Amino acid sequence: MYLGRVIGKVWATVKNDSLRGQRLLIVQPLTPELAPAGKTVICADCSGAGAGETIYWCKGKEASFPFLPALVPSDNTVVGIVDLLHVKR
Amino acid sequence: MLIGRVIGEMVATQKHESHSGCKALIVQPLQLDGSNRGDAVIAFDSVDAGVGDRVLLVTDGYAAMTSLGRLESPIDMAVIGVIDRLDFSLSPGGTGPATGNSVTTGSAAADSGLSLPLEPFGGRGQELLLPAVPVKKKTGRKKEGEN
Repeated sequence: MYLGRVIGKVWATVKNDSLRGQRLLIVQPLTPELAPAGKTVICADCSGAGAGETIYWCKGKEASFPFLPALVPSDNTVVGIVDLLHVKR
Repeated sequence: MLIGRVIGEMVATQKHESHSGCKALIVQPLQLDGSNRGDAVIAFDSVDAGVGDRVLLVTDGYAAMTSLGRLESPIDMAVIGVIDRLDFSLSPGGTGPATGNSVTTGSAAADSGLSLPLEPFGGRGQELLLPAVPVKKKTGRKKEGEN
């Protein structure tokens, strides 16, 4: 999983039927120090995260598991909202 | 699998229900010389690792899920071992015995920043992994191309 921050939302009218009703978020990956790291990605959402929230997301086939038994074509999914980070480099 | 160091822990309340009860660690993947390899990631813990430990990190969903016993859970990374020691049986050039080439992860090694008494694999690692075969393969491919 990776740390990130929700910086926006994607609206798409024409999309795969299985994506109907799914929220699509724009996520900026973060380092543990909460500095931006790399390019933004579009994630589906199963946690109800909103703009500005620090989240963690899951990549790959596993990203479609939160929606089972529905088969949602998602390769990045926000799976949790981060409350606290304890970092000791 | 990757080698990494646990640099922190993450707390999340609002998350997928299948994640409840899992300890989430912040793991920095490492090169063999102890330098950082990319950005830190979040991995669930299956071996009771703690901050400062050098660990084995799986980055495949199936491996991560089975190690945690949570199939069909959105988990793509897990810590599956705590590394005690690394031994190298070849020198970085791939020839001859290695010299002084075992590394122990103790508190002393951790404090010293985990420096290996070896040149890192980064530059010449592929030669080490495949000392003789690449040369043969290259000539073989050229011949195939010419035909």
